[in-house]
Amino acid sequence: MSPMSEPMSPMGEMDCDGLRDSAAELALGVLSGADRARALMHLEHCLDCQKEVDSLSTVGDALFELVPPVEPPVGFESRVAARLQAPDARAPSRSRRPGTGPWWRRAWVPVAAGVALVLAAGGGGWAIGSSTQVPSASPAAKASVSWASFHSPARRGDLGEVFISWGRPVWVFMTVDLGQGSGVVGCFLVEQGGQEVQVGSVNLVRGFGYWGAAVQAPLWKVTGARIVASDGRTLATASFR
Amino acid sequence: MAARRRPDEPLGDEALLSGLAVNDPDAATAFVRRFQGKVFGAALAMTGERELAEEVAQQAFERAWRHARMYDARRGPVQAWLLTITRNLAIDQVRARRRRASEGAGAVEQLASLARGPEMEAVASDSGARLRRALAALPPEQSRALVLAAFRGFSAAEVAEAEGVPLGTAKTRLRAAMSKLRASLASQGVGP
Repeated sequence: MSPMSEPMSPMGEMDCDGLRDSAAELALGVLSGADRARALMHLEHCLDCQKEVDSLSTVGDALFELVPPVEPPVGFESRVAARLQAPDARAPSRSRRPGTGPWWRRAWVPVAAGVALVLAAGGGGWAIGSSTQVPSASPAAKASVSWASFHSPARRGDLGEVFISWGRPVWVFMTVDLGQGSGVVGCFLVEQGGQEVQVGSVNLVRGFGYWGAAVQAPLWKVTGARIVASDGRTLATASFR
Repeated sequence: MAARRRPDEPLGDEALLSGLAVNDPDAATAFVRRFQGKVFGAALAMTGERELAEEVAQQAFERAWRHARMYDARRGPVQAWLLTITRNLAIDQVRARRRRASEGAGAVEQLASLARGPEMEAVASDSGARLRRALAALPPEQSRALVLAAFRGFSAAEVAEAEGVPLGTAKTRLRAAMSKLRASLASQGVGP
């Protein structure tokens, strides 16, 4: 385990002490990666910790209320209007599968909905230090976690990470840093036998982006993950060992 | 009997958001006009760049429009919801940028500015003034931790690295700062 990770229960879930240590980060949307996922697992059933995070979130909100308004550049309003009128503007979000719920950070739906809390802060460096198991997504699968690094023949070193929390629902998180390039790329899970399931997509900014959501589609013996460019090129792959 | 709105009375925030959700162009325009200053201001406070702040602000309105039906008034006012969306988008941007450039400069000045606040606002909003006083009273190391996390998107580990302190110390500073601000809000009846 990474020394930066929080205390975990045997199932990978953060405990109350760890949650209290991280509640401020969670409330501000800056708790990253695996710690966030484990905190959310804990919040699903701990009302006391939910209250703690909710009350600290109120502080974050109040802090931003202090920021004085600033007049945006001329033409801002018309540019927003054009954006809302774009033909695909209300298509299902690029960053999640249809039906997987809202993606913003927290608390506008009940905490137990999970996904709402998950996404905004993931960022770099999910700190689970080693992979755990190749899961079989049976209905009885427990909330264990799987982790793998992204690699590419075109670049040396780790290019990101994929993290799966095998609870109900299954949550998948990916972060990539390809160094360059912007645009939407697809996030796929690879099952034993080679079948692939697209679980989402992410908009890379200068090569960097992250994505996560609850996955409703049935998954069977996931062996890896793949990041795919819009033209079908494989940008990075990961293998669960 | 429900009170009726006078013709010259502006629509409430939630009504505008409802209009946005059903593609009412007048409501959408009014919604953007009402909140664009706060949204752009928050985006600018986090990104520090007008061009990037505009992109974040545009995305925020787009996300609000896309998810307007998911808004839950029980969780807080529309403006706070919209600013949360803005913050999340800005955190994405500042984190992506921070991987290429050193950030964190100006954090103390930013907090000092927030703590002072515009004179008009301080007079107009007692709750804001009390929160500002609580901010101004924070020890410097807690102030820096708070601003780095809230406005620069730093995790506690990144705060620890930037400040040259152990992770536990950074977490403690952040938690202490947030707890003090929460206490100031609680004393004025804000929060759960």
